[in-house]
Amino acid sequence: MVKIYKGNAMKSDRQLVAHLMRRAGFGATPQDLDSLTSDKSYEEIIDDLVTPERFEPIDMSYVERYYTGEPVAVHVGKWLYRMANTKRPLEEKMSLFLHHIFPVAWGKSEHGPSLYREIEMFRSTGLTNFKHILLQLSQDPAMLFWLDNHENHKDEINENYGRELLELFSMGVGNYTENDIKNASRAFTGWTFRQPLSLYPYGHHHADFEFLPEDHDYDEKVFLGHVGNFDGEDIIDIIVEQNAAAKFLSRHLYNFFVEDEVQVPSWETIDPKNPQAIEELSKAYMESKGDMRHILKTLFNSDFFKNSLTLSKVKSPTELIVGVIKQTGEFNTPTPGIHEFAVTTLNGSAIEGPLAIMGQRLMNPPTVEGWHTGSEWIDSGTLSERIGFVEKQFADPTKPGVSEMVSRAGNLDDNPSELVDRCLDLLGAVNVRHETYQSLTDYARELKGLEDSAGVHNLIQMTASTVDYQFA
Amino acid sequence: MTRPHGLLRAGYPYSTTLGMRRVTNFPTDIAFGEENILYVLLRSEGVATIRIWSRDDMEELTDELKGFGNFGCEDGQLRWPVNIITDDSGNIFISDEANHRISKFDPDGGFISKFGRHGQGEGEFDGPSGFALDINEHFIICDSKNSRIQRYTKDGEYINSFGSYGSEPGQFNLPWGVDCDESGDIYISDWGNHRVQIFSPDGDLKNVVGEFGSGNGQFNRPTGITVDNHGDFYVADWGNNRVLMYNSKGQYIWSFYGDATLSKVARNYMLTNAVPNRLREMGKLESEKFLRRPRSVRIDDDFRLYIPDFESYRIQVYQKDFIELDQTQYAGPLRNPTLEVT
Repeated sequence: MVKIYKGNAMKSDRQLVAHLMRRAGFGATPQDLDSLTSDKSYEEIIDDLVTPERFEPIDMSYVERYYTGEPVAVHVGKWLYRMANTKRPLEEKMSLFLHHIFPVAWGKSEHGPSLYREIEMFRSTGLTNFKHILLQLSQDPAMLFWLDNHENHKDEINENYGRELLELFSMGVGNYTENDIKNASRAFTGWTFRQPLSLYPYGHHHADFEFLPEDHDYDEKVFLGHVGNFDGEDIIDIIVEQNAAAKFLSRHLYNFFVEDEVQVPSWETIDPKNPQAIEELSKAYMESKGDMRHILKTLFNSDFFKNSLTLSKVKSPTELIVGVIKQTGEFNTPTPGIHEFAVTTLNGSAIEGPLAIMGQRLMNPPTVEGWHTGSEWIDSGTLSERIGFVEKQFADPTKPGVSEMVSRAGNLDDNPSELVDRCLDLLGAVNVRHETYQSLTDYARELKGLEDSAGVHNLIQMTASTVDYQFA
Repeated sequence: MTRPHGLLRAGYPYSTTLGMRRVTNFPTDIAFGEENILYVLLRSEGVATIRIWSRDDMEELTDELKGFGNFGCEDGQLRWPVNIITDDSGNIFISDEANHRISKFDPDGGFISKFGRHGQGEGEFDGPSGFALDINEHFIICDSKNSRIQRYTKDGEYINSFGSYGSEPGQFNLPWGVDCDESGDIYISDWGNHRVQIFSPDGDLKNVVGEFGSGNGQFNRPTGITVDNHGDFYVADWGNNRVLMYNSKGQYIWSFYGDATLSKVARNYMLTNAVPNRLREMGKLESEKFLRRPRSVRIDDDFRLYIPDFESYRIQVYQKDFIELDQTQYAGPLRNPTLEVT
């Protein structure tokens, strides 16, 4: 007898919690949903998500005992492992969020350690406040090199970082002048990094932020109407007080966690899909001075988030891959091969792995704008790759997660609708369209007569391979 | 071999550095071959191979490279190799914690045989990591995820095992390294419990050394371990980026943090690379000498200590400097410390 947990009998609604875990994390296994819904209210689960220090971090010595190597794919593989196995899913999701909105690519410098430490910085700052995040970003060697601030000297200004800080990282076009860019850039003169030792002969060494006072412009600056002898931190202090910063960050959060928006370059001309939601998030930003935990609690507790279950939100390739391996359990302990998901010719591999084919080379975003998301993840090629990937990963019934699902799904003699309901539930309370549901129940009928576990496995694999599974 | 009555420890100076990036990437262990040969086991994700190297290093990066082994599951292939050892006949044995087996090769790298399969029963492994030959030419193997030590004949026939999962004395948590001394005692680096445990040949616990920490004699994930002919033993302290040395009583003696200089092959390479030479002047050059994440430590019959410097793609070599003392040169044990001027 298979037990299906219903929301009314538990402390929280299973489908809503599954929705939350897909958006705030990388999905949930049936066992995760059992314990979450039986032990905690929806609000308590959110409180846990925004307070990751309540849970043990991943033991990276255990991960690095097994996963070693210099290529970017190895380090992306370790990150995928963390995402799939962490007890702190929002911490990892915020690392991914910040990698989306502050994208730095390995390809410019090919200096791996700076990039891996940047992701670590995202992990440690993602749930602090926006000022701290921007300050750490402005002192991050990977970013400083990526946007040329190491070439920003008091006698030879380089405006690249100052411009993108305002345009792409904090406020958006239309909220500042060219003069503000110049003055912001002057404030960041002398913000650089100490030269790391070269790759040869003994491997990479990391780079550290360094402030060179002799290369800093100490003269008066005018920025967004403020006048003073500003340095970079002063500029950030002024930025984070702006309503424009609140709205900009809110729209990014809405796009990442709630509903696919148009791409960032269109934000100047196209209004948000849900202006009221942006207002709510902006208000949370301003009243908390950019506190990420407060803003995210507001977001996940909002009606607009709870009602977003049926809104279009295409899983990013990373969300798809991590969600799948979390459910199949194939990497619930270190096992060879996780880096193969991340290999790409951009990093020197002979072939493209699934992440690359689906369009998201982690640590190698295409431009300073990052990835175009939502429906732009999908074309005929990537959709085929996505569905093929899921089908392949669920093909082996001996994988621990798949085996667990097969054992809990029921029998082919059961009512086909009930059997499909259970499969959808086991795959994380997947929400499917009516026509998909009809096709799956028809398929369940066709399977009658097959050996039970093989047939049920087929149905689970088929359910995971639907287009509907591609949505978060 | 009989241990000396005592030792005058004259020092343990740094000797040389071997290898560099591209030719000895991620050296996870080494073994000693005939004459001047070193077998350097290289492991990273998707790469598993053995470089046949000279103890005198190479002249040029472009010299012909010799080696064997590649990544995979087929006979003679490796996925996650951990240890490499040789026997008196020059045969080479390699443990593989992903393929769950020990593979045997001839001195030129030709595959001969294998034993072991995945499982929890006799003759089965779950992540075999460190292994060594004891005085009876039996394999002592850390069956890491099964939290036990297994003993096999050299032909791969199961003999017995001891240990279980836990943190109590005699128990293990993902044991990594093992070595045996001339009396048959077994030294295990208990990775998950941050300690070394020493057992009699029958598997009875004799001593427990170390605890978690970064102070003298403490460990953060001990990996490889080796014991020399004086009974001194050495432990690669992975998380603290060092190698610790203990005497036969288990008392901490000192630490090796790394003193690397440019190897012969690295010097010749750098002479033709102008930009990196400039960058060396701009960077924190001192950090280049330190060990990074050592996974193994080995000592040869001439008391040369080899530390595969895993994340720096090289091997650092030290030379034990000592005089063996007889009874007239080395006082008997003192029960108490003394402040008397001697």
